[in-house]
Amino acid sequence: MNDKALANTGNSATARFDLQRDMSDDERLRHARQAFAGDFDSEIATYISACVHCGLCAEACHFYEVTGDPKYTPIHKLDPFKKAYRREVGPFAPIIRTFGLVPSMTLADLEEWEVLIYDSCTMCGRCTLICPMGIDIAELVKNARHGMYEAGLVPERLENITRNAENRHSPFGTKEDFTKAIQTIEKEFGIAIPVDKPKADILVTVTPGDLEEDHASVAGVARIMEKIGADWTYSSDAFEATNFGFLSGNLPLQRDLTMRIIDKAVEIGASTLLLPECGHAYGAARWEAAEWYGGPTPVSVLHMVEFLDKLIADGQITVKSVGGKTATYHDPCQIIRRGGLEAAPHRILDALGYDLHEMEDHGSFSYCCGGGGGVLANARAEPLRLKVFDLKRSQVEATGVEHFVTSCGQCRLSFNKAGKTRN
Amino acid sequence: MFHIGFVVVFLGLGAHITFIKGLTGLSSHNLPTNLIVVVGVITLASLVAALVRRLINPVQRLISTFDDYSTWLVTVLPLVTGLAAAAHFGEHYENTLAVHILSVELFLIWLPFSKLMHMVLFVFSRGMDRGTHDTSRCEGLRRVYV
Repeated sequence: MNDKALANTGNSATARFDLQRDMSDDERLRHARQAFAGDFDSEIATYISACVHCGLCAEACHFYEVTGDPKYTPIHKLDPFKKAYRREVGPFAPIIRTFGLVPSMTLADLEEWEVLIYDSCTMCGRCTLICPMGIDIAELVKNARHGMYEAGLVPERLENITRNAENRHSPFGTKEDFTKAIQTIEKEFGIAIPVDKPKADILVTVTPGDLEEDHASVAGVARIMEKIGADWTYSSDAFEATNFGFLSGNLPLQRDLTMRIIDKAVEIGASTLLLPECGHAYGAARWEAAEWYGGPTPVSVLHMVEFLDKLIADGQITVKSVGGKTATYHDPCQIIRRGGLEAAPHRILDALGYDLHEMEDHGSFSYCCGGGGGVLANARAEPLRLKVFDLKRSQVEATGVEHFVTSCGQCRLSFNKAGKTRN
Repeated sequence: MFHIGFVVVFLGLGAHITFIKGLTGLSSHNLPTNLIVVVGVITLASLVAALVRRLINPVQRLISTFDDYSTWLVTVLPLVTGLAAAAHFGEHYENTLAVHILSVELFLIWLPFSKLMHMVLFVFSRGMDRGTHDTSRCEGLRRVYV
């Protein structure tokens, strides 16, 4: 970090942003512009040109709903990105530049927007769903993050975790750390967990949260695999499911992390790549892997919930009924709204015998927990995140149920963390 | 509101139908002119309401650009001049009608350079939400069928 960034990481109420890497201001601006321009394609052109500035997306956004501040209007979070499009590549770009109709994007713009693009957007896509023009605003925010990353304008905590993913294999740690953690879990639960089998039918991946705290979920997977007699393995070369390239805007890293698990699955001859209960990992692998692979992926990418639903439907595992205990289900944005995996978790809850009470906003219209899209990792965003979480909390509490169920590791962390602060 | 109004006024008025028939040969029954005038006034009122909302709603004011206001004006002009022509406002009906036709031409010229393009682009924009994402299974819509 340079002096400018240090000056801005204090409690200044105005522009508060983090800077990475040593670059002149001009270089930052140029990198951002190039990355933005690299992303501009017919899809983005159509989205940006189709916007009628109706402002309906504001009311879809939990950040706007809880603050009432117009700067959190989803499409406004893309202002520099849209400006760059209009000035540099839009159909009237030469005219706009000649007459200066749209002001040039400045570094100050980007610094101001860092907070809007990273701290106040979980890329949950509720705005996308509400937009009458069908503009995928969440996707555009992800695109805008590419330019922010190239300009070295990423929240410091998020960038640190991203660097760990890049240099140490995973935010959790190195391959050796993984092997140790698995050995610990084996001892703790008295089970055997296969790692690095040269050939296997199912390659299972895991999140840092499971390896750090939630050992029971790793053990649970191992027990189910043993029960169904699956030919499965973890790989110390490709155990990490989360993709911090996807969250931070580091596009080359996103590609590498995705290809690492896909390539490994192909190498060991797996038919299935199994993802843990992680929302954005599902988005990155299930819906974007084919783009990096350059065609249909030879392995089928399944979320843990999809997998369990199949096992229950095929009668390979049976579950004990809880006998009509009341529960509510929080629909994780990346898995339900942006992932389409809505029926499977409900069938599992049915099989478990839960008496489900839905929240006021549920299914595709569910509010995000506030921790997705790298916001939970971004420590400086916490005060705002907790405000957003309260919206979710009030809806959960309104159901008055005994149990709370969700199918995303990040949502769970977000609920746990907020629970500690709020209660 | 004004979307519906425009369609009714454009396709329902006898004079418009005669004009379209002259151009394409397509014809249909017309609605009573008095009804069209009422619909035209309601449409105008809803456009004014849309502008007022744009000016006082903090979200809309923040995200509005020159395009939003210029397009509003270009959209309102054919309606105002059309109502004036229907009311035979001014000394010479032909002049009022000519101004009306010119305002429609201005609208058509402005269309491709402005947010009016949403009347074409929304089809593509909405269509793209599906389709492009799942190349692995070609299901189109992000919907998992299991």
